[in-house]
Amino acid sequence: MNNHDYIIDCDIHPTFGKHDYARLAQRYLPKAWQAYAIEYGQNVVSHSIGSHFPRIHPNSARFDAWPPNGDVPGSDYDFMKLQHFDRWKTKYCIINPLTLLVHPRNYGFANAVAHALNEWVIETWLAKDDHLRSSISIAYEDPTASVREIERYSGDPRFVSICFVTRTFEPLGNSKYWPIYEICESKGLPFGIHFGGYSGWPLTGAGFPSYYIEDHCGMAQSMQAHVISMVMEGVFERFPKLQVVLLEGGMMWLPSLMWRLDRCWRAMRSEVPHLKEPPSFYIRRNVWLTTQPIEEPKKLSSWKTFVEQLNMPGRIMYASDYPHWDFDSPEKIEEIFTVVGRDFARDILGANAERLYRFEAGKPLRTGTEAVVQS
Amino acid sequence: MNGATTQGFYDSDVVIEFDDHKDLLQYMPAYWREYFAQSDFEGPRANGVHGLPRTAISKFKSRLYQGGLAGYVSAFNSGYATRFRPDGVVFNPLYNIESIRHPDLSAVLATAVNDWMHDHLLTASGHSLFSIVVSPHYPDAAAAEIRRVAARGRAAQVILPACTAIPLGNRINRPIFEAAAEFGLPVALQATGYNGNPPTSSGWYTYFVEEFAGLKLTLESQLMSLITEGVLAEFEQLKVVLLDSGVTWLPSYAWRFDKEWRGMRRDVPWVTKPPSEYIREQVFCTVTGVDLPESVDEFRACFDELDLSKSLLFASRYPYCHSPDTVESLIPSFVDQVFGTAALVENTRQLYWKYHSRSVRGS
Repeated sequence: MNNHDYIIDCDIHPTFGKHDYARLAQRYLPKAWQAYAIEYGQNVVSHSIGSHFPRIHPNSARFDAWPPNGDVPGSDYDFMKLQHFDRWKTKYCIINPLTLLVHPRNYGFANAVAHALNEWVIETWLAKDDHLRSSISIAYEDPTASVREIERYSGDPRFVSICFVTRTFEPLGNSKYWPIYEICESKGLPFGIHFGGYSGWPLTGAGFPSYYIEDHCGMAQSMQAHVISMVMEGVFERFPKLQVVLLEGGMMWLPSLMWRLDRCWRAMRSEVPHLKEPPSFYIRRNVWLTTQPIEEPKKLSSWKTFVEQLNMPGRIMYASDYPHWDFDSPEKIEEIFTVVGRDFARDILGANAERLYRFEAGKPLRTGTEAVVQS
Repeated sequence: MNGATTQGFYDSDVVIEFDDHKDLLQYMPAYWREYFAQSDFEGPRANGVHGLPRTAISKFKSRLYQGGLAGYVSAFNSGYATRFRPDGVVFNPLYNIESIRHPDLSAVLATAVNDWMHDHLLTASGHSLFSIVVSPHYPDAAAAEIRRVAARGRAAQVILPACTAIPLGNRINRPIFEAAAEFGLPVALQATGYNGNPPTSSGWYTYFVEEFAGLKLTLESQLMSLITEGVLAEFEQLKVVLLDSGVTWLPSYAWRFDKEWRGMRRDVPWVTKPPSEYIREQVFCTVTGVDLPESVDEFRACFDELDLSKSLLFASRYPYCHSPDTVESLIPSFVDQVFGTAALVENTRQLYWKYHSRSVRGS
């Protein structure tokens, strides 16, 4: 590989091993919350909407991602290094910890869990490998506490972003979340929105679907609703330097959505006088896209059309979703985007992410610490 | 209109609103006439949709409905019908019956609207047809109403709100599609609906413009439901019409959907073809909507791979249209340039009038 032939993976999912739950709780959760979890359960919203849709594969994982030690996919650092980091010679991989981010309704508990998760990520992953980076986990329905948690870790160069899941209590343009955007903007931390979650609201505007395929596919609509909301409610007018990364929501819907929003804005701009520019202006200025799960038109030339219509140079970044079943390999992404140009494809694999995220050397805060008792 | 005159002029989406119930009372039993006289209920549009924004109201509307529903008919006749001399239009009632939970009240209102349309709209313009209103909350009652109205002829299709309480593909809703399929009627989804569900998987937007822009997401969800939950597979001849949905979202939607189907089709074994094939064969869109790009080339490029030339319907969405001089100017110029007004009119005729014209003459 020559100088610019490197791979940055914007979305990997280390997860708890069989013994990590207990270890995490003992090491990082205050005693009172440990007892709470045992006595009352995690008190998560997902309980109120019934079981999640059964995944098509165990643990949503690739069949070959089960480590030889018998633990679950994504839990074993050595195996992940062998199968993913070394296999693709990744320069950086960004961890988006999804574990436990299932909306505990008790915000005190949720904040304690988010903090424990950040400590677990440091100890189990970041401290082992200099090329790993992570998003900061926050209990984002409690923005005040989230800001404190972001402040705690934003000085550590290994934490390069914030990550929400799409199914929040409110659409993300809602002013409730603005304190989080304020600190993201001021610290230069990109703000990621990732597939998944359990808000308790139905997935669709017409209620709950029946099958996992609808749940999985429907994340594209869930993601678009946030784009509509963030743009129209004025997030990007108020926070012009905010960098939003869409993770695992698809990409090809964006040109059509921009056209639609621009036309709606022209017809009804008096309702949103805070918008000084057409919606597509803010999207092109403030939004980044990731590749996985890549849409699959039959003709590769459709990608050329998409890139032209999108007109967002430098804004597409590679994501693998390792170790999940819908993983996309760098080779596949390179093949697809080489139809636009070799350099264009290479930039998607690495340089675009390198320009967005701050991969600074810097001095880590610490390598694992004791629990911080929170109210 | 290049060549279309030989086949006539057909319009798939002429909107009529039922805000005022005075004209409907004659179609209701005495109990319900008394209910209207004594309760504070003024109909779904008045009670369920308080403060409808002016942007959602045609500037012609107040003039149109000055004389109640009869005023609408005469305004349509002296305006649109006189100017364009259509051979047929589909009248699509905008009624929001889904905002009513009362099972008997919703049934009686649906019947009144359908009977009024049958008695008053069919003479309005050539071989006009109308869409059957039913409550999506009560599929069995809806199916009975579809059969009752369809048996008389002159129904174009069944019309449902895109925003329902339960996804339309859910098996609980199957009686609606069975009844439509029995009579060879398409099912149309209107970009509206007041069902109690928030429009997003994260709750409610703040602004009307967001909700309006986001309506296409619920249409996307419904289409996914109709395909994955097996409605289009079970009723191979059934056609689904997306009204005022926009069109440029469809190709990329199909590519993601096809890919997901390849990965997860084990969950839905009745879906035996890639979703894009169901879309190509059974789904139609009207050409109004607001997702057109800035240039005609960009618009044309959207359909390079997913050919929708047989799937798009001519639609004026009267009276929500500009005041046009020609038939072509009733639809966006890019659509005319890429697909041709004549071709869209022909698609419309094929879908609604190909088999209808005979039965219409006989009725």
